[in-house]
Amino acid sequence: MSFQKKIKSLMLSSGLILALVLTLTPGAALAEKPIKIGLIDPYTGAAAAFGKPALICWKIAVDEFNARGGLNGRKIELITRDSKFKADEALAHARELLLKERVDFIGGTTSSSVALAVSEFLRKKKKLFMVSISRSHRITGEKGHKYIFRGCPSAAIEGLAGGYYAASTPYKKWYIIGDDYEYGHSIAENFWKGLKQLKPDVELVGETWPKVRETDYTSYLTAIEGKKPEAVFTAFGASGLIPFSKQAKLFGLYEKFPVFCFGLGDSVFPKALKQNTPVGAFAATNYTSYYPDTPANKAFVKKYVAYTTKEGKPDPYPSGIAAFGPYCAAKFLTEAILKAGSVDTEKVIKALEGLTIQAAVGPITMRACDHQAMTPVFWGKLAKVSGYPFPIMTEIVETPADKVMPTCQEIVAARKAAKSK
Amino acid sequence: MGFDASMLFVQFISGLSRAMILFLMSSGLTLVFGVMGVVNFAHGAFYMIGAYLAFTLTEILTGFVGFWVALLIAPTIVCLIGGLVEVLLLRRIYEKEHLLQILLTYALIFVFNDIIKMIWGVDLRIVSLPPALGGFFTFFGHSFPVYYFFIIGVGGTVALLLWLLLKKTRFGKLLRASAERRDMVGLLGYNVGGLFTLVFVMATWLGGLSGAVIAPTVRLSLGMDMEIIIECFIVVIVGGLGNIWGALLGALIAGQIYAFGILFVPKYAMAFLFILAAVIIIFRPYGLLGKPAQARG
Repeated sequence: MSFQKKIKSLMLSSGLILALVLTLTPGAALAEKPIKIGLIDPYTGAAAAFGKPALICWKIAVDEFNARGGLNGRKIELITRDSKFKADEALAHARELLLKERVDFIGGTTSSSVALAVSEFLRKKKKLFMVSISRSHRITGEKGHKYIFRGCPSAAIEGLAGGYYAASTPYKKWYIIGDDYEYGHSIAENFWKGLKQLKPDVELVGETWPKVRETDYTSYLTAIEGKKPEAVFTAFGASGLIPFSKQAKLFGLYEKFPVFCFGLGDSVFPKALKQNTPVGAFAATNYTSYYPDTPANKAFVKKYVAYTTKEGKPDPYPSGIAAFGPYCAAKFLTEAILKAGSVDTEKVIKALEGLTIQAAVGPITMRACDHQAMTPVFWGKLAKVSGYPFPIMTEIVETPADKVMPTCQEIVAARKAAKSK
Repeated sequence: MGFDASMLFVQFISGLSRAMILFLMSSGLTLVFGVMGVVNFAHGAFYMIGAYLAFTLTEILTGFVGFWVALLIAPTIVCLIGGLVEVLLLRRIYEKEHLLQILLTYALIFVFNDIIKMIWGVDLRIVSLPPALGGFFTFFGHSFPVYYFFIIGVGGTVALLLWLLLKKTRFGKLLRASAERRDMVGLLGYNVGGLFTLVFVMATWLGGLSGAVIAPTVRLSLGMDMEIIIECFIVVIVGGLGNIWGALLGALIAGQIYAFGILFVPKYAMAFLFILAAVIIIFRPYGLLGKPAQARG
């Protein structure tokens, strides 16, 4: 054996021994091993305006958990992956997070299509999935299962409440335009269901579904007039609402028709739309920084401002969809880990069912039968109010979740029907 | 269904404005393929850079001047970048197989996306409309934004200029010649390399212009290049890959199919363009105005 070879084999064997020693002495290392939560959200592309505030709010909840000492000293570590608002991309990340990073839980997702894809994968893998922005009612409805929870509202709550709200207005002939994907159809379906329930004589004079990444809505906007509706419901999601609203404003849609739109009442859209935010539209969200005016809400805003200031962009208007919802989802998960005293999936699921957290809008409970958080909805009319850089909701109507959530029997029936299909 | 004539006219105008944006984009795509034989997947990236530059320029120079300066300078910067790409990268692979060209131009998409992410970040950007073009035209009781007429005007002007360039100038003759027989043009003593650089600069200028023109009507975000490029590929396939007039015809057809599809079958409007593309690929794979492959020599 030459000298060089000797050195080589020496290095190799010492490396091997070192590796053995490291793997055989887990004692101290294990107690320090962090709890890993994998987050899949859009951090680039049009929907990054959601992924970024969501991440800040996951961090707030995780920091609160860690500051309290974690789970017997074990702290939570967030590992983020960019979904780019695409289901296939997200699925690849989910697989990698489980197999390579060995995360304990997965959270996030903004696109409802992404949520459904990841949900199906995690159901098979028996890993807990905490949805923090995606809205489609199918996620915790007919496609729900044991391993999925949603800490933010569902389109069943927000759409139905919107339908009830619209039923109090005099309009009978409706036109629906929305993003052609899971969320657009889900919110429209629930809106129409609520409206029809309270006002059976309403008529749908037309509906159209542009593709999700449409750049030019011109022809859609001019076509609406041809159907002569009395009011328009727009069902756009995280990616489509901003370009649609901008072009709709150009075409005077908001002056020509009363427009109802979930989401425009949320700060995330006006922040990007600025002077293009329509005034006079009927809009909604699940949380605002200005209503309810309670100490709990003020405290949440203060915390959010502190975190966004640290990131260099102080933001006094946390979004309901992109910030408050994800905070609740993260809070549910961290509280459940503490309550279970373990990161064991089955134990955390038990702890989550029926768990109540104290949030800025009041206590929110995770319903045990469908794993859906029971959160209220706020509908109102957009108006310019002095002191705010964008139009905010006025004449706010709050609808509590239990008034608009499908009953547990309905959920069971829907899941059964979906299975037999 | 009872649509009045004015409604049909409005829909026609909206289809035309969509067609013009598609034409501005597709003309560059098809020019590069026609003359250089390169399928430039990164064409959308140049469009995206044009839009982001327009954003920055209108932020620096607010008001009316800003928009016109942006319209002038953004495409110019983009075409300079295009020139660099041709000289430094594309030039090396003309003689190689098509797969390498696709790999290179596709890789450029990622490179430019990351550069934009580094410079502008991932936040949504919105370009405001120039005040003078922010109003409406009202006709037959329908209102239509002035800006979309401006887009139609830009598209028409570019089509006219391209026609003059290709038919009436020596440069145009050379372009058409090298599209047919590149080797002959070289043998006659012309500098084919320089010609290619010029063509690529022109095409990327068109891409940058499309981006700057469309910027005030959309929201800028990473990936906006992919949102439009697929439709542009359909346009050039329908019209005939490599043929400028094919791109114009394809864009007009695509725009109107879209506009009237939405009017009459709103729920399934999306499908028509793709059905048309499928029919064209099956029955006339070289496109409406293209020539069959053997005739190209």
